Amino acid sequence: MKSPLLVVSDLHTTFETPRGPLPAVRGVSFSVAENQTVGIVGESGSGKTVLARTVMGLQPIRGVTLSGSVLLNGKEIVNRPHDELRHMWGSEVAMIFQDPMTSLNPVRRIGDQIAESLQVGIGIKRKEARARALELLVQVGIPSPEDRFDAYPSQLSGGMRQRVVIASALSCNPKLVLADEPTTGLDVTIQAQILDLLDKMKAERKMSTILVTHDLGVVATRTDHIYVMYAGRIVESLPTADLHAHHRHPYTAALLNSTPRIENKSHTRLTAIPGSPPNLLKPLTGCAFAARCSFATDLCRNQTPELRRDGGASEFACFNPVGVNA
Amino acid sequence: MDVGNKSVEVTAETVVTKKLGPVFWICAIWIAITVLAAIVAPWIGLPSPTVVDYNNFSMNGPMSAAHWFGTNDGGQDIFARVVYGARISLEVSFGSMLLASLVGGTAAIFAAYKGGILDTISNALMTLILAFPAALAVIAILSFWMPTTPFKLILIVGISGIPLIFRVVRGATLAAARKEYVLAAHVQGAKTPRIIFKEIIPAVWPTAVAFFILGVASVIMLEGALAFLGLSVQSPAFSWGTLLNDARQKIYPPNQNFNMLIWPCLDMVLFLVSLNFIGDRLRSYFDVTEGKL
Amino acid sequence: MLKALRLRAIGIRLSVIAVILSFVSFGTFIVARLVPGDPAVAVLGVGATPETIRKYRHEFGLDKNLIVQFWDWLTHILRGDFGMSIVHQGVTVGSIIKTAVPVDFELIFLSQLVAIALAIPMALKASRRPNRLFDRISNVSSFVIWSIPSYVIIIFLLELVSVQWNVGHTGPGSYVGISLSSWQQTSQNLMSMLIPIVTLAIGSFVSYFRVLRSELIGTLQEDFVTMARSKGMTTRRVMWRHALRPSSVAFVMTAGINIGSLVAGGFVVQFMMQMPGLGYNLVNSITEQDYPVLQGIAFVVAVSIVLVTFLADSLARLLDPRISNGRR
Ligand SMILES: Nc1ncnc2c1ncn2[C@@H]1O[C@H](COP(=O)(O)OP(=O)(O)O)[C@@H](O)[C@H]1O
Ligand code: SF4
Ligand SMILES: [Mg+2]
Repeated sequence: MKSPLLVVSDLHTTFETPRGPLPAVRGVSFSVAENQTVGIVGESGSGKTVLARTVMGLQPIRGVTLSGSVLLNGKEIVNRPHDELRHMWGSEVAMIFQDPMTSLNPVRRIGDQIAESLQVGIGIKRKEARARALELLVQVGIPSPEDRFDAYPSQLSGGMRQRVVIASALSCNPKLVLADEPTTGLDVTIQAQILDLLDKMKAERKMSTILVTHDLGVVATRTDHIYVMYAGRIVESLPTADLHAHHRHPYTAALLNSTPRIENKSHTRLTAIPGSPPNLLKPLTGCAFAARCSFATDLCRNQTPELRRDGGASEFACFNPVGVNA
Repeated sequence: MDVGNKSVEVTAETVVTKKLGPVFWICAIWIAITVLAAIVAPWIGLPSPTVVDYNNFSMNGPMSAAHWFGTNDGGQDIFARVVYGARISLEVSFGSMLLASLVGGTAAIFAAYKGGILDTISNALMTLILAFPAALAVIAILSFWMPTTPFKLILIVGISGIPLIFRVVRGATLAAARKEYVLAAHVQGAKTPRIIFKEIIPAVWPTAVAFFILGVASVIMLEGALAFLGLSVQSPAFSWGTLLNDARQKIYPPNQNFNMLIWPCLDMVLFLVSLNFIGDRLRSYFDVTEGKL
Repeated sequence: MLKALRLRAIGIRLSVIAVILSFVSFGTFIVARLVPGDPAVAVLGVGATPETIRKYRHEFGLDKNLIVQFWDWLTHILRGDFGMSIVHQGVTVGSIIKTAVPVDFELIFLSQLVAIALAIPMALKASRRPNRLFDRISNVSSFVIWSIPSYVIIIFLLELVSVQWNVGHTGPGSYVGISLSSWQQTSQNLMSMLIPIVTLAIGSFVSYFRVLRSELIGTLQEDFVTMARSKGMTTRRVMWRHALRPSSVAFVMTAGINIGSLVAGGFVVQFMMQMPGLGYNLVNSITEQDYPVLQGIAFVVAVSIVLVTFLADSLARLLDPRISNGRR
């Protein structure tokens, strides 16, 4: 069997802050196969963005300690200087950022921005790059692309901008795309359109995708596999098909409960779980979710549960899992 | 905008420390020493800055125990002249900024607080005046009103500083008046003077102090420029500016007395650096930017 | 339609400028007149008889009412006639201004060029690693330099360059005009500009560096910079092509302020170096109570400041479309 496109093992990301070390990612392992779409889901502050950036190798060198390994196409990413990673960025792995309002350069025409990615990434000439950039604008569904080519980002709506961001990120045919909350802050209908666009592009280009979101509704229908993240760790890993009926972790259950109905694609927020995530600046003992968990026992508070499987498809880090395995 | 995702991203590289820091205090101490020395100069056994020491006369004398910074071309003690020279520079700079702040600041608070046409007109006027280089007006008036005295300097420079202070304080007042607690005080029926003294002034003074200090520094610089045009105080009175202007003419042969130049320069520049540093620090400490005006 | 809108916006801005200019010219006229002292007395001496003074005042139109005088003056200026000096016999104000303007132009152009050429790369370098060694050193030293008055810098430069190193044509009063035909004269001109240019450049450099550095630090936090990096661009390209322009609005405004204030504010430097620019002549006209010269130069200065501000504003709009779209 071919080895997966991306293999992340025991990844740690710790920020050195004035108030001490802040472990934002604490031992994450997962993998993404070619052509696969995985979702990473968790409340705000659970470390999703940090994880995505670390996987890209985008973290600043200074003030951050990294350990573990990220293998992309067999090549190590962790602790490699930006200058070496640069050649992979854009052409092997690309990132779509959360806020389309801020992820385009406000003072440059959108066509030029896409063309520049092509010039830098594939090394084609300016004229050809512009022609291809226009093609990309067509592909991502920008109406009257010739006119929009010379527009500035501030002249476009949020949805249009995110389409431009997608065109720009995918311009050099990356094998893996990390989309960090690509639809947060957009209208519900636009959200669906953007996600549909991503699905379409993924199918056309045979890419793998990591969809990072705090919205279970987004990942529940559009991914093959889901990783649930809490306080810098993956607490449950399961095929998307098993999400509703066969999830085992109380946190996943809580997330599902706070999501009104999956059929209702409204933009749901995971704020309904009582309490808040632990302060990562303080040392954690036991299960990080214990303070908010209705199943917590003394064992949970003293010992850290490791990911395990008990016969089903789900891997979970919990002493008292919910549900029964199928 | 999005409640579900409001994690604040602090990047590891730019942590804004809200501390004044040790350099701030060093500068503050230096300012205190300079000001204090200028005030008590007559009573601390300094050699006279004007009377020539005939017992141990030396023209352009070197640095020695008797004359720490040497003597000038008239045999006067340079150290004493530097300390005494600060008096007029400090009088003029603090005096004029005090005048500007009292008049400009009070006017600004009332204009901004009352609002309406009065505020609009006075603000437009001040902005228009600010477009003219104030230093030129000062030069014009001084050159027709010779001889220059510290009092005239305070008056003219002080008045010319009003527009800037007005704009700064007006901006701060407007910002403060929009704050919730001020609105709340209003709604609860507090009287205008009470709101101004209890709510507005405490909110505005940090800004005013920061600009006051920066203003003092720029007046000291301006006084020096005036001295070079021969428009500052006239001999036998002397200031940092006139000391420098004297020295400029004396560093060329045959005199070549660098002590006359170096020491006033050093004292003045150190004082300016300290003032600017403190002013700038306070400004960022209280988070005042001109952009917000 | 967009074009039409843009034209209209420019039209509005131009008419605003016209209004400001008329205010400014009236202001300079009035201020020059309100200054105490009587030019007739100044020129003819205290011993002049009332009769000669009256004749003099009549000859120069000083006995008409202020509004009429202003109108006369303005209509003449618009025809390019700035009048005659009342102190220097037979010298037109126009000729003084004509010889002074190139001095200022050269001084400002070269000093700003030097300052900007140094400030941009240094700010780019400092902002990449805020609070690291290079940033700290350049920050502290720029702060100290900021606190040194220009006359102190000039004194030390004069001592070092003209006296100790004995470099020719650098001292006070060595200014010669630029010449297109004589290379020797031009090189002398550049030498005589050396010290004032360095002095003014030092002062301006600090403001450019500080503004650009803090803007860049802000810009480098933005997502679009990370996005550009994540597309595989070199740091160099990210800094110059992506970060610099969005950070340049405050920079361009600073240039406007610097240049505007140097048009008249360079007078200390010009005075100390005896360079016959606008500032130097302005100070002279004040001390000599030469009203027509004072008014003429003040008018030119005011117009330049307004124009420079307008140009800076336009350039900023060109560099950053957010301003015109009202999102900033
Ligand atoms: N540059 C940084 N320096 C210090 N702490 C950081 C930094 N970036 C993120 N964090 C912290 O890491 C944690 C995870 O943040 P993040 O990955 O943004 O969460 P999410 O994307 O899941 O909302 C948060 O507690 C955040 O404060
Ligand atoms: S380990 Fe204990 S506290 Fe943690 S999720 Fe499971 S039951 Fe809850
Ligand atoms: Mg995030």
